[in-house]
Amino acid sequence: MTQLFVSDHIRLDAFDPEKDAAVESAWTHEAEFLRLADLGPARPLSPPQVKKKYEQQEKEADKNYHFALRLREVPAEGPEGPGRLIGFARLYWIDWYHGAAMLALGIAAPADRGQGYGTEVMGLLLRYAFDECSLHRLSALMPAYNLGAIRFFERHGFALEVRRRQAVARDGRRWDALQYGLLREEWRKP
Amino acid sequence: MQTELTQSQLLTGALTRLCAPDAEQDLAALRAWSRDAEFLRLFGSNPVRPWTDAGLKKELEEVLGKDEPNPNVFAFHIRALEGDRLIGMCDLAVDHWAHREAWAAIGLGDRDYWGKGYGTDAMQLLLRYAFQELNLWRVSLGVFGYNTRAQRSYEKCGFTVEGAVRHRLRRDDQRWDMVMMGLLREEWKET
Repeated sequence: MTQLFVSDHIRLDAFDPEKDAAVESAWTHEAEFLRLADLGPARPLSPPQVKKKYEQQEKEADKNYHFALRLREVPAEGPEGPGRLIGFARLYWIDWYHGAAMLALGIAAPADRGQGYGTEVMGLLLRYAFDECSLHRLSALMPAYNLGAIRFFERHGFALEVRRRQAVARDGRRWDALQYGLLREEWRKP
Repeated sequence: MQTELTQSQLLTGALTRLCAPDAEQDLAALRAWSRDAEFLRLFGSNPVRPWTDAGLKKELEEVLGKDEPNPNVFAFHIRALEGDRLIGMCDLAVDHWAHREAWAAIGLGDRDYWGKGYGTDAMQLLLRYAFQELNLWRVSLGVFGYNTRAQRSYEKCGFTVEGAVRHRLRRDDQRWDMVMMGLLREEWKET
């Protein structure tokens, strides 16, 4: 039996509007995280606003697959508890007809970064995208100042495909928007 | 009326003009174009299918906005100046105003006007609108790898290839790239 949603430390889960809205609301007050995770203007959201966002996501569930990243309880005896929410991952703008999708992930707290969690999540996401959704290719979008993301995606086999020159305005200057891509045949299956 | 603004003919070019889409008046042309599979495959990436009138109207309403104009999408229909004939459509879609970038799309449904400079003329109007009216910093677009005629037209307008989304499209059991092009405000030359 293939376990698509668990790795050593991480579990891909659905968001729980009741419990997770407060945590995600706190993330939206961290401008640094928002500017790394998204190209839209940083904007704090209250827990009710986040809840509404989750409801909106339900309506587009066929095109966008959202995952809550939870730290598995250690030791895990019996049925696992909900686990601490540390970030998000998603396959979005899934174009089923052509077999293409966008991919994004983020780990919110600086203390949770650099622990190898991102690598575990990427392994799960790629397997999910290629083996479960049978997609042909994935894209990831990032501003050129997100050096961590660039290194991360390159390490996982993604190639730079598009450089949208000066597409991002922040702090009074312009940055390129980069798009990385990974084809099914380039995926290094674990 | 006297004005110091230089661009009083913002929506009129040498061969074409941009006008508001009119779901009632333009429906017959839209219906005809939505049954031309070759055109649809050049214009969009969704599976080709003949559209119902209701579907065409709904699609247009979604682009234009239901109760008030959509503030992030500027959609036009294209008319040839000669005879004022409806020949196509185009639009600019802004993702984030903070970055001052829009995505451009254009299609000439009327095949009689292909390859004669009408699309290039309309794109130049769209670009003038983007830079002079919307004050944008850059305009982006994606063009299918098999649509070389469109790519040449965009290059004529000043667009540069900025990369390609490899194998983005599957058509006739073959994979095609989506070629991505961009034009910066400082590179744009008004014609």
